[in-house]
Amino acid sequence: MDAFLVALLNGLVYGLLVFMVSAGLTLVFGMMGVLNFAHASFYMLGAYAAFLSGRYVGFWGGLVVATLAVGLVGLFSERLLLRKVRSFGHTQELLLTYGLFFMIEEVVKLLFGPTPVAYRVPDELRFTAFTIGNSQFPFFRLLMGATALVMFFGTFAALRFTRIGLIVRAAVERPQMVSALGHNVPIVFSGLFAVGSALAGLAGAVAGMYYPTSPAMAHELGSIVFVVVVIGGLGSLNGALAASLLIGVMTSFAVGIESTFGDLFRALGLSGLALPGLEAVQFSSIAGVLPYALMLFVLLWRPAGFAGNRA
Amino acid sequence: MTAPASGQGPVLVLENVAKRFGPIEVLAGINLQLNRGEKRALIGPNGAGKSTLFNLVSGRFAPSSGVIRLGERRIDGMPAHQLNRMGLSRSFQITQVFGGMSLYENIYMAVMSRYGKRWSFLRTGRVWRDIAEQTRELIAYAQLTSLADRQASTLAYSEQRALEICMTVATGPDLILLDEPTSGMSRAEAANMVAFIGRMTQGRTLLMVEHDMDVVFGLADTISVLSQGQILATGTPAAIRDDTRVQDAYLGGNVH
Amino acid sequence: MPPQEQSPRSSARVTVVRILPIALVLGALIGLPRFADMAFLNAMVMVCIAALYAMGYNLLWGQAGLISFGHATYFAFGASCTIMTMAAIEGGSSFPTPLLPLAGGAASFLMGLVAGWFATIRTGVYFAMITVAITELVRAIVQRWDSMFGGEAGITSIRMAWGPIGFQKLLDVYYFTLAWTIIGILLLWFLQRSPLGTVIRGIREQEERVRFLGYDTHALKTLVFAISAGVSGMAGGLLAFTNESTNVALYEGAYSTTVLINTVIGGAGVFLGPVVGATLTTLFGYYVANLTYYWLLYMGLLFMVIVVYAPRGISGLGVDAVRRLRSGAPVRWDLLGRFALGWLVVTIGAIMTIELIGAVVQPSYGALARSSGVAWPPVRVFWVSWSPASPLTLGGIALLFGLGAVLLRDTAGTASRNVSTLADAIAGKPGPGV
Ligand SMILES: Nc1ncnc2c1ncn2[C@@H]1O[C@H](COP(=O)(O)OP(=O)(O)O)[C@@H](O)[C@H]1O
Ligand SMILES: [Mg+2]
Repeated sequence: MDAFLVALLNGLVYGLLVFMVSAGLTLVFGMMGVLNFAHASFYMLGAYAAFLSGRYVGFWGGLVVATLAVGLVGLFSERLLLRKVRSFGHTQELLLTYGLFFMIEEVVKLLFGPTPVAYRVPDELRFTAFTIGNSQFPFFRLLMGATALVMFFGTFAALRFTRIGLIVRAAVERPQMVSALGHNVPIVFSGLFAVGSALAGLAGAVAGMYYPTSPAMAHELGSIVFVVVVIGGLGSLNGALAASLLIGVMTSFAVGIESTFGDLFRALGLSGLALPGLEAVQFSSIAGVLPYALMLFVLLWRPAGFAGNRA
Repeated sequence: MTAPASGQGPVLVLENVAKRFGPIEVLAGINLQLNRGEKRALIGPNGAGKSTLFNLVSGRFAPSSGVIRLGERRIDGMPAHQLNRMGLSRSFQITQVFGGMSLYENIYMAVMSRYGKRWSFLRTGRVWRDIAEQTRELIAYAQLTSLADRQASTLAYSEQRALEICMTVATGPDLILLDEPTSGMSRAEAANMVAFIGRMTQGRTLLMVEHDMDVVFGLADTISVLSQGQILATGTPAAIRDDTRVQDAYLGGNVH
Repeated sequence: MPPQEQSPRSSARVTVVRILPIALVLGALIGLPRFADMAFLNAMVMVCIAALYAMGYNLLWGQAGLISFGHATYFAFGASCTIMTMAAIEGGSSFPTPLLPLAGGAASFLMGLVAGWFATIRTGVYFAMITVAITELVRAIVQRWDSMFGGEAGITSIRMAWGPIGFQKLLDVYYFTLAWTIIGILLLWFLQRSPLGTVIRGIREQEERVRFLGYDTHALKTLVFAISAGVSGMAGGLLAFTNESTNVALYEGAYSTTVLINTVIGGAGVFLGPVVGATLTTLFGYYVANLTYYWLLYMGLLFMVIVVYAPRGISGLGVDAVRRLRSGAPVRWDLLGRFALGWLVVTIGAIMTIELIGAVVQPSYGALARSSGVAWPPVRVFWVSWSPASPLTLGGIALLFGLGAVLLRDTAGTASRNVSTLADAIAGKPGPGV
């Protein structure tokens, strides 16, 4: 039971983290139809920015610097690059953000090398927040979860109760209508892009101290985030939240399963089906496969995603 | 042009067909029957649900409830490509032609499908001669031969509309659905279009949505009026013109 | 989406103009081993493989309008299955060695049927995301299934002789690869010209219309995806054949990126565009990659420049230029020269910047600074030693970029204007601000 609770909490924290990155992506996507391939790169940049600035301004300062710096990078990417290819259509935008994704990874490799850097949980934060039975739940995990929760409610409130939030929501629903009403969609969009990037940066800054901070971060989380957007549905925060949490919890539990494929085949009475070597593979070692398998399943069951009504 | 397969009974039947988008009920219990060779116009104010009805019949969406039959077979929820193979073809309110191809290629693709050549890597055998010949004949019949080599995106709007209808007919359907075939045209162009559609749909069953009453009275032998998701009345043009309910709901109020 | 060039008319003159260059290139490729050294022949084998891979990839993009971001899976799976077949031949199987790439192609085709069926449920950016996810899925499985795919160490095998052909000499491998590449490209060419090709282009333009004409577009897109995967798998098979080994690293994102970059640089809208891109980057990679650690960064920069300033790729620029030249307009050499000089200056500035930063951030550089007592030890770039922090170096770089900005000043506006400016310059029309 304790192990169950801990796995559940871990899963929720990871899910919220994924959601922090997905939220910006799905809103930007919903508003302008731009799929930002580099979004997860901003997440990676956040970790590096916090690592770098943390030496001078301390851990908490590093979080702030990372958030702001990545927000600025996002803003400049949108205004200086993305805008240039807008008139060529979504394909060119997609290629541009893909190029950005590639470039950011290479630049980070140039500056910091291809291997992980030593961005760790600071010692003063290495304590146990609470224990369940005899399982300990570390503080920084709690911090990750809390950051994501604050961000979630903040985003939600901003969208719900502010004028700009109203415009964004309207723009996600009906982009042409809003500009017809005289709102400056390009500026709102730049702002949204910057805020989305900043949130990804913050997510990276908190996640980077627990997960390895390396150039591969962007790629690893990026594909999970895509899964979230595909199964969550276009421009839907609720869909993204549901998908993120589901993936987080599923992955977290799968890691704890000790059975192998061989056990499964025997249970199904298929032990004759000797796929070479697959029998010895543990489920836990392919927990990473689950999000993608889930995506394929959702595609079959509801092609437009949990909350999607637009194709 | 092949004559439509003869048979008894209605070509299209809708029984209690309803469609909801989320909480909004766009169509509520539509009953409709179309007999072989009939030319029916569907009229109604903007937003009445005419396009939605077309989308249900042609397989773009599935109805929320109700039954649709094409001849003997139930077709509600069937994918569009299967419906086309069963002899139902439609045009679109917003022109959908292949702009990057010649007019000839546009029609050719439709004729290929009619001959069941939907997967062909090779162009060998008699059937390809027939397809080319059919394509040329159809283009000639539509009096578009002089435009055959033009890229579709360079055609004038009314020419693109004509191409759209020609493609719709080229798959050899028994039942043709036309969604606002003259929308966006001048009066003179619309009048030409009436003659064109009359010629292209000769001997076939036709269901069309149209706003322009001249077009409706020029082409249809029966009219159904759709208002607020329901069929208000069905009858001959004269009868519809004299129907007071229709006048209240539609003609009297805002004729487009 | 760049529409692929199609010519309904085919006069004899056009045929000659089109056939002649291809015949010349083919002749050169066949005669190449007489003149080339081993290293170059090796490079050309890799060019063939990259070209076939990119051509298979671009069937999806150029014809069906679907951009895959995860094609490495099919390339790698083709390689894996080919090497397994090679191992089987080694073990006594009678599978004919010359048909080995077909084994990889068939395997990837089958995998493409399944993957493509899922991916083409959606279109546009969703399609893109699903291709990424499927690649991750396959990679996660393959990289843990060591007994099947060989893990990090990979699988090795050797090319067995077939009849009189030994397949031991590089010459054999070169002609073998060249032949299969040509076969693959011909297959794609006939597919593009076939009735099926017409329908596929129709799907790109108006998918819904195609469906309402009676075509099952999902099934057709699945088929196109599978053919694209199959051709990519053939290319992967050629790689396995050449290297006599494969590795699970082939399943990684880098191999999806390379093919995409090659296609963008070459141009997706012209049939042989991807070949141009693949040839350029592979040859550059072969000869330039040794000179720098940051080869991939330069590739990325080139990619970005192409996306922003020449969205139809190099072949697109070429096609435009030829078309405009044919129209008889005089060439504006002054403008063209200015652009060329501008880009050259900017390129040199960028290389200087990257190489200097790259050298300075190395840990070894800090150690050198401490041991030599010099704050900024010199760095060699372009055969000259530069002191990274000296005003001369920094000023020089600033000057290069400044000069570039002046020379390229007309291109400071929107990208669409840049392209037409460049094209106009080539064709001799006065650009804006001139
Ligand atoms: N895909 C859809 N999702 C939600 N509402 C829709 C959709 N299609 C149509 N509607 C709504 O259904 C109503 C009828 O639309 P439509 O059938 O296009 O009317 P008409 O063709 O008679 O003008 C409109 O109020 C429209 O907003
Ligand atoms: Mg309508």
